[in-house]
Amino acid sequence: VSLDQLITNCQKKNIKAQEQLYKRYASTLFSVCLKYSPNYADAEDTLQDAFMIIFDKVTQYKNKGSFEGWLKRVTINTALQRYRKQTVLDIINEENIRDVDVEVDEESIPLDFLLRIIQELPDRYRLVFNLYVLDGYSHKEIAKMLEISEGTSKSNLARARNILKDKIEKVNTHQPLRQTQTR
Amino acid sequence: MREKKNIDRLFQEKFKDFEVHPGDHLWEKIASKKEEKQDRKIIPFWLRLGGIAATLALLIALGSTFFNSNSSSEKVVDTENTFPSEDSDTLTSNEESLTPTTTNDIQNTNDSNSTIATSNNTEKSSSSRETTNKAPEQQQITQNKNSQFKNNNALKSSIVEIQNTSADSNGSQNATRPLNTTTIVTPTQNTPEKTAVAASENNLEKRETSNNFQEPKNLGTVNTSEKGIAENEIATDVNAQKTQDNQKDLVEEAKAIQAAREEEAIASVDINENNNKRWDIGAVAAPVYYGDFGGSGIDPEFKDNKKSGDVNLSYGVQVSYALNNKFKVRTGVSNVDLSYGTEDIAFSPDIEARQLRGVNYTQNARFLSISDNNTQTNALSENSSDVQGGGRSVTPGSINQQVAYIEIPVEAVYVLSDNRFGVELIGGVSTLILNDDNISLESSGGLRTTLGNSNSLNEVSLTTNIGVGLNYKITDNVKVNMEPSFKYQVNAFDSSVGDFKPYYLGLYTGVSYRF
Repeated sequence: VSLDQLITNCQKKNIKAQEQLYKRYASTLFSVCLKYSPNYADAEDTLQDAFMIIFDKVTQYKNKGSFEGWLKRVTINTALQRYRKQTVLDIINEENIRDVDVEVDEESIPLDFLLRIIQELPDRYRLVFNLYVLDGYSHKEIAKMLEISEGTSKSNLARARNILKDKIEKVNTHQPLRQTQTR
Repeated sequence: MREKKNIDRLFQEKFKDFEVHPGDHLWEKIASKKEEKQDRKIIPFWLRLGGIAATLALLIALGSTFFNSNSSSEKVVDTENTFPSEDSDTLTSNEESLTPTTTNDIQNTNDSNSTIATSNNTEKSSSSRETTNKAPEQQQITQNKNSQFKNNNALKSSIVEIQNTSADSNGSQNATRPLNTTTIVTPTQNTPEKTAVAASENNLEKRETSNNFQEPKNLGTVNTSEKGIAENEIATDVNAQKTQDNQKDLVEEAKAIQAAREEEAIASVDINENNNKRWDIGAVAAPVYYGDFGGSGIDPEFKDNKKSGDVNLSYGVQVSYALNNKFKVRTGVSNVDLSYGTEDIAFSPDIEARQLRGVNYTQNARFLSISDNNTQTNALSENSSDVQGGGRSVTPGSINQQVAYIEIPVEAVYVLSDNRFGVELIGGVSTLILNDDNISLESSGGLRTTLGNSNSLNEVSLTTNIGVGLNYKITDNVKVNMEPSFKYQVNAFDSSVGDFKPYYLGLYTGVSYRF
C-alpha cells in the first residue's frame, strides 16, 4: 500500500489502515516518546495518546510537508501537553548560558545511559533540551510551545546541559572530574 | 579513546538513528482504548449538555420567580404607599407653612389652594384605588397602569408646585421656596426604587420643568390635561404682569409633557416586547427505536428474516422561532444512533465465501460465509454427504447493523394550545448526514465480530417527520417538553441491495428557554 493510500484509508477511519500506520511508524514515534518522557512506562502512555490523536486528527493532514514530520510534531506536542504544566524553579542566570564541553570516552558511553539521564531531567529541562538539541527548535519556538519566555528556555537548556555533563562525568570515574561547574 | 566533545553534539550523534520498537502489546492497548473512547464519548457529552441545561433551567426558574414577584406585586404596593402619602404630606405642609406667612388678602387664595390640594388628593386616591383593582390582572397591564398612574402623579405634583408658586406670586416667596424643593426631592428619591425607570425619569423631568418655570400659567396646561381642576380659582390669582413669560413656558411645558408621553409610550412598547419573546432554544434527548417496513439493508436474502429494532439515544439542541401565535419554525442539530438486528442467520468459515451485497468487508471477515439460517440448513442437509465429518461448523447467529447520523431538522410547529400545558403539532423533514456505521456478526453464544461497514448507506439522506409536542411551562420562559415523533427515512439505503425501508420512533424530551 502506498503511503498516500494508507493516509487516505486512515482518514476514512479504516481500522486495518490504522494498524498498518501504527506498525510503520511506532518505532520512530516511540523513540520520540522515550526522549520526552521521564520513563519507559510513561513513554508508552504518551505513544498511546499520540496515536489516539493522530487517528483523530489525520483528517486534518493536508499533504503539506512530510507525513513523518507531521506525526513527530503531533507526538512531541502530546508529550508537551503531558509535561509542560509541571513547573520547575526558574532562575535565569545568563552566565550559565554557553556551550558546555564534556570530556568523554565516546565508545564507553552507552545510548541507554544517555537516554536514562535525559529522562531523569526535571520535566521542563528535559523538554527544552530535547526540543533544542535533538529536534532543532529555536528558543523562540520553544518559548511559544511551552508558554515560557525565551530567557527561561535558554536558562533551562543551560541547566539541563550542566546536569547531563555532571552525570556523564560521574560515570567516567576512572578519570578525574574536570573543573566542576558552579551551580 | 577520550576526547573533549560538545555535549550537544554528543547527544545529537548518539540519538541520530535512535529507534525503539514499543512492543506489540501496545497496539492492542491503543485499539481497546479507541473503542473505550468511542463508548465513553457519548455519555459525558450528554451529561455535560444535560448538566448545563439543568443548571440554566434552574437559574432561570429562580431568577424569573424573583423578578416576577418584584415587578408585579411589590411595585403596586410601592406606588400606593409612598406616592400619594408622600404627596399629601407635602401638600399639608404646604398648607401649614403657607398659612402663617401669607397676609390676610392672600388668605383667600390659600384657601382655594388647599381646596385644589384636597381635590387632587381625592383624585389621587381614586386612581390608586384603580391601580389596586387592576393589580391582580396581568403584569403587563399593571405596569402600564403604573406608569400612567405615575404620570398622573407627576402632573398632580406639578399642580401642587404651581399652587405654591401662585402663592409665591402673591408675596410669600421666601417661605414657600424651600418647601417647593422638598416637594420635588421626595418623590424623585422614591422613584429609583420603581422598576419602571423610564416612567420615573419622566416624573423627574416634569417636576424639574415645573420647578424651573414656577409660573402660575403652567397650571393652565396641566389643568387641561387634568380636566380642568380648579382652573378658575387659580386663574383668578394669576398676576397679569407675567402673562408674556407664561406664553413661552406654556409651550415648553407642553413640549415636556409631550416628550414624557412619548418616552412612556416607548417604555410600554418595551414591556410588550418582553412578553412577545419569539426565540426558543433547548436541549433534547430521546430514546429512539429503529424499525422498518420490510426489506434488508444487508442482503436481499435477508428480506424476509425477522428483524429486531434496538433502542438507542439521540440527543441535540433545538432552536425555534415563532412567526406568530400559531406557527413556529424549528431547526437544530442532533446526534442519532440507530441499530437493528437481522435474526435467524447462520455463518461458517469458508475460503470462497459468498459475500453479502450490502457489506464492505474488513480483511478478517472476508472468509465468513453468512446466509439465511433456513436455507443454510437445507443446503447442509443436501450436501451432508460431502461434508460429513468435515471441518465446516455452522453457527447460528444474527447480524447487527449500527448507523450513526447527524440530524438537521427543519420543521413547522403548529400551536394547538399555549396555556401552561401546551400542545403542538410538528411536521417537517430532517437531513441526515452519515456519521458512522458498522455491521457486526453476533453468534447465538454472544460472541461478536465486525464484518465491516455498509456499502449501501447514502452519505446524505432525508426523513419525513411528524410528531406531537407536549410542554409544560415552569415559568414564562422555561418549558419542559415531551415529543413523541415518527421519522420515516426516505433514501437512507441504496434500493438495489435489499429495498430496506427503515423508520425511527423517538420520545424527545428536554428543557427549553424562551427569549
